Amino acid sequence: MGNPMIELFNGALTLNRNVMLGLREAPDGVRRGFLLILFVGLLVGAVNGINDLIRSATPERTVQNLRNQVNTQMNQLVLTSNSPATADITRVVNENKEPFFTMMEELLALQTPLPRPVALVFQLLAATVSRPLSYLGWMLLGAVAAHIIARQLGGQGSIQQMVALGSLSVAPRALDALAFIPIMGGTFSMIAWVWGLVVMITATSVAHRLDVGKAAMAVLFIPLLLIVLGFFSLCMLLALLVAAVGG
Amino acid sequence: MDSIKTTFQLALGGLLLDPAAFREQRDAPDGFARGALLVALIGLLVGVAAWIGNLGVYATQPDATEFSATLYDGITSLPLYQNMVAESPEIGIAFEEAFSQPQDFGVLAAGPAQSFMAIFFTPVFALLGWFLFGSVVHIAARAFGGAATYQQTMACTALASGANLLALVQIVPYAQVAATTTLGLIATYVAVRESHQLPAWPTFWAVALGPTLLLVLLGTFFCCFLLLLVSAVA
Repeated sequence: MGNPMIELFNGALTLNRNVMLGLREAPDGVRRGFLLILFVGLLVGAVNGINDLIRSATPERTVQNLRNQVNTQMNQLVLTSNSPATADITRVVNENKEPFFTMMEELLALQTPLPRPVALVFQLLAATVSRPLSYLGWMLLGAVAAHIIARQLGGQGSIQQMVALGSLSVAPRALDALAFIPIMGGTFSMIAWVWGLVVMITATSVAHRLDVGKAAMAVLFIPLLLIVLGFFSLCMLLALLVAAVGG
Repeated sequence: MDSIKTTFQLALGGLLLDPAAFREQRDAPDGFARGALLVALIGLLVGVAAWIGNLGVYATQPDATEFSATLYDGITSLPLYQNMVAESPEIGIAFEEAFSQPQDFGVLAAGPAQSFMAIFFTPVFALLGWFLFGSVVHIAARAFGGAATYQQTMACTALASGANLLALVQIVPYAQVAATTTLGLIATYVAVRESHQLPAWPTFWAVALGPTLLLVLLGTFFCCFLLLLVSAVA
């Protein structure tokens, strides 16, 4: 008999329907789901927090990271466009970036009542404890959206069952702990996101006793609708502004 | 002491969407008073946690005057700023005016004395929010055929403030709170379901009506503002 939390974590990652059925019927399903989010969130938050701590240990190192980011973005801009506007932007950035970085270094080096390492430890703790809440917030939005459509499609699950099972979709986000790896970090996060989506669809299917097709529709309908509506709103806003300025 | 323990067990029940906690609150003769105590107590705890966290942020940030002076020196040494002032001297005048008062431009945390008032305001606003939102939810639930009394609705919706226990994370300086609003709304849905014994959709609309009306109102204001802006630009 292993640790119930690890079993739940493994069950979520392997889309184990028996584990999901057990969670659906458990009276403390929401508590177990939230504990899983806490477990994954603290792990990812701590790893990313330590990575941030290393990268920002001194003002010089913090500014060097910023400098690298700006240089990378400027190189990408120059590679993708050779218009006169791009040349102007590049010239202005190149003229101003070093005085700007000097100002940043001076601001970060200002005296504080408590020494800088204390602030860094606070930031590490904050990154660690904030991550589970961030995961919980996104999971709840996804679970509520899926629950509303699933009920319309004939789903039978309660909101508690949906929230408990939806929590399992956070398990693959453990891969976010590898986000600090150069080049591959983004790929790991993308895999985690897609895997989480698959877990959410399976979880909706189990919570509402729906087939996978309907569950996928329940999970994807509201996000896709919002994307389409957002796109049309943006187009209309731009058209309105162009008409106003042009007219 | 026992009452405090029961109150926190109820708050935890609200946080974890436990239907038994909502039913217990609905059937309790002193549910309304217990609910008010719960909302105020959680508000107070969150206020104290936020104040302690803010104290940590304040103690690890520089003095506002020094910050402002360094920022001033840094910006005025930028070639971009010097070119802009050479082209339009009024930009320089506006800049000097902005920096004539010592300020942190909203970047630094408020001092311990300034943020201390939040300890009192947080429970007051929490009680006010509970009272207003609970009343709107009760009227809507009754309109949809709900059977609970006002006291029962308020007693149950008070448990939704259990979601605010998540905001205790603010005791850690720089920590970010999330999920409290969504979880609070879900808990309110469970509260209405358990107190009024309504089917799923009427319960959903009873809870969503208040926030929806608020969003429509804000959207209307935003559109009016946008139209005014566009007409001004035109």
